[in-house]
Amino acid sequence: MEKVLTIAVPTYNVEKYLTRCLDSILYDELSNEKLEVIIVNDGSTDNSLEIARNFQKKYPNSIVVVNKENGGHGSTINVALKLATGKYFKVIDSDDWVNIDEFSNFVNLLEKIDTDLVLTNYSRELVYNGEQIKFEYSKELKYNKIYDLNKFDFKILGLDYFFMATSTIKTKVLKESNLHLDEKTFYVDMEYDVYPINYINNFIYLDYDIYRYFIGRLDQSININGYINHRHDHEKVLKKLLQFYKEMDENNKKNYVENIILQMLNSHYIIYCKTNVNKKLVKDMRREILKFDNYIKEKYNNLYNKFCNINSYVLFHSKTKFYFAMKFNNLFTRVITRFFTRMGS
Amino acid sequence: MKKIFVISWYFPPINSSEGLVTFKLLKNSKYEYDVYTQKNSIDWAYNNTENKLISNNINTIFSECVSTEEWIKEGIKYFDKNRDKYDIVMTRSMPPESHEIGLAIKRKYNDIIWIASYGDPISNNPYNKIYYKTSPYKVLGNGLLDYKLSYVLSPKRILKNIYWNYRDKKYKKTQTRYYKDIVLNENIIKYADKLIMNNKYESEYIMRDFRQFNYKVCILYHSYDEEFYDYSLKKSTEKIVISYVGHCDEIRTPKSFILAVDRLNKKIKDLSEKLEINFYGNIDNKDKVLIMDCELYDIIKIHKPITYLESLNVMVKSDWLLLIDANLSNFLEKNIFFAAKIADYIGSKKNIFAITMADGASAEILRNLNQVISSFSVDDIYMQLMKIINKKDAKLKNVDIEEYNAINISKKFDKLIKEQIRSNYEKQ
Repeated sequence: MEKVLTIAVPTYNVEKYLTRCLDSILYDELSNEKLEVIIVNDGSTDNSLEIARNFQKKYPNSIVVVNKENGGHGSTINVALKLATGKYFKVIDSDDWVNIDEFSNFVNLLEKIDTDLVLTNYSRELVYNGEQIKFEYSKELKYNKIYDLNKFDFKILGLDYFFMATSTIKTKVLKESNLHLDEKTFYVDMEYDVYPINYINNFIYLDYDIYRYFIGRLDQSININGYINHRHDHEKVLKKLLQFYKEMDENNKKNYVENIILQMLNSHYIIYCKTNVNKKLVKDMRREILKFDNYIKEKYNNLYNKFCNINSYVLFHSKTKFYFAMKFNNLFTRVITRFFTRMGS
Repeated sequence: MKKIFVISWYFPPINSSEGLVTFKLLKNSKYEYDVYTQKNSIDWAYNNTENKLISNNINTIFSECVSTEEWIKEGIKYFDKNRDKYDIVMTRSMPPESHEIGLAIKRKYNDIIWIASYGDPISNNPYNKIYYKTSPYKVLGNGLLDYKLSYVLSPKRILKNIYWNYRDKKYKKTQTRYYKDIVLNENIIKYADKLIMNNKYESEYIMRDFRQFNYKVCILYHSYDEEFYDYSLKKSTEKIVISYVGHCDEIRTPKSFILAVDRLNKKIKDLSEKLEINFYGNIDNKDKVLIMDCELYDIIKIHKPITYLESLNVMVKSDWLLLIDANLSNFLEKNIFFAAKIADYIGSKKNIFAITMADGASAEILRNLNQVISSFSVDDIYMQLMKIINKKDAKLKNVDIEEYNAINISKKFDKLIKEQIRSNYEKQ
């Protein structure tokens, strides 16, 4: 039986979460046969591999287990994509899960669809209070309508883009794009959101709330401390995307990439402006952000100017060599910088 | 060997978790005990009707005092009079006042062996930290870009902040106790010969500033006692029965669970004919209202608190036992609490469905026993309930639960006492 959907499950020391993730994916026994679940164990040191193997025994027609040395999140997706045989490809992180009420219907629908990209909604599950925040794209984006990406007005998406959690992409398209994510690097999901764009011609937006993004764990890379610790990875990915942007043909899709880069730039500066960790680190980080700021100004001046028009706060700090942002992260600087940025604008 | 003098504010016949934990430990021990307690205050307990819980090796000394202050004084006085009868004193919190007696005795009679047994952490209890909320109207020093200048200077915000702080008297009141408990905790760790804690996460939390005293710590799990169960009892319904036994409040709230049942009710026709959920014990009014609002009264039933032995019967007659922990993810990476009811649940040999933090004591214990664990997410709980209803998880593996058997825990305790006596003898 031809597989409709390949699901890549990057797995690294997630024994506490993996069962929930796989249980949710394989909940409906009728749609199981249509799934190819590739669990890529990325050198876990806990019981993750054993859990994966137990699931493989239970669902031998649906589960493939790959055991490899640790290479980071990107490496697991690279491996899964190489092995993927399903019509569509989706990544579900092993600490996340899918909505069992809608997932099997979604898989059944994928059989009948032929667009390069299928967009769905997702919900963020907040660890610390158990609340759920549903994400939906702008109302201007209509459900069940097929959009031509070469003519698509990306302004409709606003600040959103095709997130890993919302995207299900044709395997063929991903393979054609030679998608290869950086290994041993955090934030490579941004690469996944950007690199295949030149090969995606159309997409459809479905009214399904599929992905459950478990958010707020203290050890997650998207926490502010995680961002500070992995800031060099963030810069590395950002620079790669800038290079990709530079090499792109002047076409409609370039707006999409530009939007993502502007947002990443915003996050990057915020990481540096929000820090109030120890003095030594603040000193190092100030040196780093000054260097980065000069790099962007020199190499991507147009983009930098666009960014500063959106975020005058960064412009102010750039002009004051990030002295205020890094030295006084308190109410006083907040008030002062706001006052001056307003004056400036 | 002389009797061991145990000091515990709660002890049977008072129906309180703290006392019951100690009772099971002592009952199965080979030593003899005099337990100094009281039966006038049942503030943290349901009632004082556990009259069947008696043991030949335990003699109970009841104080007539009502306040803890008088109880402390009387306890010290009693020990002074009977000093020669004892070589070992064991104190058990909560409340922490029993340790104050232990500390006073140890300071006076240095040759006495003092074993301090912890319930919850005495100082910096993360459960209480939820009450110490910062005003939502306070402008915080972190989060540089989060406020507008107009908001910072807004008289409305400033007044609200003042009012919030005024109203938060509870917090200010606890401050005196807060510092007193920090000092007491430090003294217990310094002066006690042995520290008993119920799990390694609690131990790591309490001892994080006192690593040099780690050698004093002994982990003794909460336990179940098979003698108290009647395994022949059967449920009287065809429905799947899920029971929760114990205390719920604003922090340890079943809110997410109720919402998940509500979703299940919308999904499955005639759910009330398939599922019965029972709560025995206190439940917050907000959660009662939520059950009413969701019209789940045919499925979720709230019962009055019951005695300990009755609760064990309820467990045996259930298919699933529900555990709901407080969500302390904002304060802790790992849950440090091992609720005593988990051990009783385990002893009933029924399936356990736990809503708890992914890391920490409860999750680790239950994961090792192959039980079902959910986060506090409604969606996650719903998924687990669906599996329960569809009997996808009905048969859990046979697992070894002996490490929670009171007989084995008490053996460990006896060994600890023996070693401590030998060590003291060698010192002398």
